[in-house]
Amino acid sequence: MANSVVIIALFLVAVTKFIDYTAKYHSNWLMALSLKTNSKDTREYNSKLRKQRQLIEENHSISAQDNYAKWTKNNRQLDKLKIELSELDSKIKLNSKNLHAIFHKLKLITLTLPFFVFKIWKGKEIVYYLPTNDTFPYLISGVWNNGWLHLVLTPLNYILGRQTSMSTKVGVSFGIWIWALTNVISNIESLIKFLLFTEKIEAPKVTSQK
Amino acid sequence: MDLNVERNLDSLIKSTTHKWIFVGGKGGVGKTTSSSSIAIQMALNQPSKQFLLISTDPAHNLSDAFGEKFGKDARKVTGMDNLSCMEIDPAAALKDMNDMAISSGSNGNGDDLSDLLQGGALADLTGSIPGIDEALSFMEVMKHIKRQEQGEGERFDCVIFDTAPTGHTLRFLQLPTTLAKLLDKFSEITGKLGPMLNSFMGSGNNVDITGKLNELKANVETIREQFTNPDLTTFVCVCISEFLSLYETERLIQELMSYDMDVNSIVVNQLLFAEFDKEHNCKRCQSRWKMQKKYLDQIDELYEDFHVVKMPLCAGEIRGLENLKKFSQFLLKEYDPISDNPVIYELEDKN
Repeated sequence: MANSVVIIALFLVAVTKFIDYTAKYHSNWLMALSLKTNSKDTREYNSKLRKQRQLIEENHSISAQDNYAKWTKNNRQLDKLKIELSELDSKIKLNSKNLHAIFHKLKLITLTLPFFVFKIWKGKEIVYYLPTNDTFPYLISGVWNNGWLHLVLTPLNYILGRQTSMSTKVGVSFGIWIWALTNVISNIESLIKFLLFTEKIEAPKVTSQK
Repeated sequence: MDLNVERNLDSLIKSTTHKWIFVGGKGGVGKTTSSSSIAIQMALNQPSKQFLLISTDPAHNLSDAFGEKFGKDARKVTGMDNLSCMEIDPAAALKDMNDMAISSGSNGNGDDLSDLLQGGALADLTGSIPGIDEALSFMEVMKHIKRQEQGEGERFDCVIFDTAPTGHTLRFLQLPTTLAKLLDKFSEITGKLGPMLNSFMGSGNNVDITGKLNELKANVETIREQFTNPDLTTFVCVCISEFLSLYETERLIQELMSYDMDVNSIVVNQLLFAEFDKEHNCKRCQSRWKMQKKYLDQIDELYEDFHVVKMPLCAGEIRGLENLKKFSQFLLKEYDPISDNPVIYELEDKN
């Protein structure tokens, strides 16, 4: 039972970390997905963009004075295209934004919330017992196991030569264990980031002043 | 069936439905001459109606065009019974407003605000605010509409605007939309804070802010509806046959269309028609006419569903009523460079 809790927790922590490490690629993945899902709008946008470029090139290649009518007609088309492109751009961005929102909601529902509920639900379950039995002094272990009477009986047992083993099984709850795990992972991340990914700042050199 | 659009403003000049006619374009193309010509022809062709020509250009020219002085109050043109002119003066209009406000609100307390207004200081301050000319012209329009609805004062069947150069005019035409949005915001605020605002303005002031705003909003909405009705309002673009002017005209037309304003007439001024003038066609005129013709062909191609009226460059200045009458006839009947050529040399000197 404890093993299954640990395995599930490890899995959820691994998935959360993976998503955190790949966060900067999410926008690109979602944009690519958005473009695929809005392929009609994207195709239209690209085609209008091509048309806009063609018209701009054409206008640059002709003399406005000598071909005023054509130049003006091109400008009219360009003004119209500008508005259409802006509308399509807003539409595509809105779809992308909606996709981002869906992704975040999905993450919340399938990962964050379940993990949170899982931690609350299994928080007090013992997942690990400390390996040694003499973690705590004899007297304290005795009091925990037998109550305050142990304090009175200990000298008597000693006189009578009775040796009682007062081992206390110290268990670590899931809540504490997961907290410790995430802290250790976080500290290791900071260490690696500091050692490997932080640029060295050279000490400033003090020049002598005459 | 002849689908060609007429090359004159006959339909506009004889129109019985139009109430607002704007004449505008780039600076120096002949807006004042064109607007005066349109007003004169409309007055001559519809003698039973009253017409008003208003200049909204801060650099007024109407007085110079007609050769007589016009002011902020409409005055009939000498020699015409049904055409009046007006030049809106922002400083004077603001001072009038101040005087009216003082006389209606004065209670002899000598408070700071009244002192400020009495000195005309507010007029000096606000008279130089950019856009004030457009705002005052707009207020004049609202005044006329109100008078027409209430049947007060002098009533005009059609108002022709000699507008300021393009930028100012576009700002003026945007005012109904801008004001409507502003008033909506104000209504929201006064709806919540109205009684408090009234108390701030003093116990002697019985102005109902919400009521005034609603009235103003209704007036602005009326004007917006009228300006976007093609039967009531139209815009006549004036230009010359040169690149910069045409480019500005194109920009103006596109902007007007975005405001849902009717624009279907273009007056092209200062044309030389040098090839038809056997006596006066120097090398320079020929060269300029060639350039003008190049653009004229482009205009015909670009604006094939517009009334494109081609007006000649006259030998003299078109000033005074008689000269304007001679010149304005070509708005009604297309200028023929061969038969009508002598007319452009017949303009009388106007001192």
